[in-house]
Amino acid sequence: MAGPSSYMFVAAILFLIGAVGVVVRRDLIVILMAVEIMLNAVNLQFLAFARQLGQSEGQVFVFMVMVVAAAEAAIGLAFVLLLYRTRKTINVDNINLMRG
Amino acid sequence: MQVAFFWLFSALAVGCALGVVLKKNPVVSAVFLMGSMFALACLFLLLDAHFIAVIQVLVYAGAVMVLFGFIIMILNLPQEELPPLTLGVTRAWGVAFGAVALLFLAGKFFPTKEGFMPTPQEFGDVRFIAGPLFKEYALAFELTSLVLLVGVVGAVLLAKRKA
Repeated sequence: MAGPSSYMFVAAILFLIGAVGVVVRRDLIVILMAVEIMLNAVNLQFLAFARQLGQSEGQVFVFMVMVVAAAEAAIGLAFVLLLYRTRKTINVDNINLMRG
Repeated sequence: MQVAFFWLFSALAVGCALGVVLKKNPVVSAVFLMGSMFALACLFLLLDAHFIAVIQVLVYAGAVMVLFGFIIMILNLPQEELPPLTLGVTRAWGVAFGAVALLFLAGKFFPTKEGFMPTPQEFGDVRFIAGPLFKEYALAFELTSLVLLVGVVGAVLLAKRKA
């Protein structure tokens, strides 16, 4: 039986991959993808503990996280589009001005 | 049996997540991300959270991935304009941090044999979630509609703005 510790282990690894991805990559689209990986790792953690405690609150929380993640992806990608139109790049190293 | 499936889907999820971070082409990353989402949905099923697993496939593997696909296609970046994968000094620190944190976590959270506590029969089904969602958390649930509305209007407004 795989218990909460196993799920915690996997979720921690996934979160780390996402965090390192955000720091290491320069492609803005891939950075957004890494953020999604981190959100998913947190969801896994929430569900594992909801299961352990037999409560529904964890699942409600995961539901909310998914709604916010969907809205975040839509807004974030609209920003990427706008940024590409103004700066002609999605490399975050070249996007270093507040006002372009 | 369950343990075997848990490790199978965990390996898939972690492997695909690594693929997202390590591949240069965003299209390949997007496909890997979809694989990771599906593997996570399977893990949610193993946790008896059927409703959330279905929502995961619909919302993430469906809606969010389509969004990513659209943006990648609209931008249609030529291969040479993609940011390179080379590692500078500052980014090497990021990887070093990740390695150290991984070692720490592997020592701290190493999986034990201990299983889950017995859960209520109805744990994963819709009624079990809908109860608190429409009673204690009714306000939060209504506010999510506002979040989505702002998301839709904001995305359209930003994308249509003249550069």
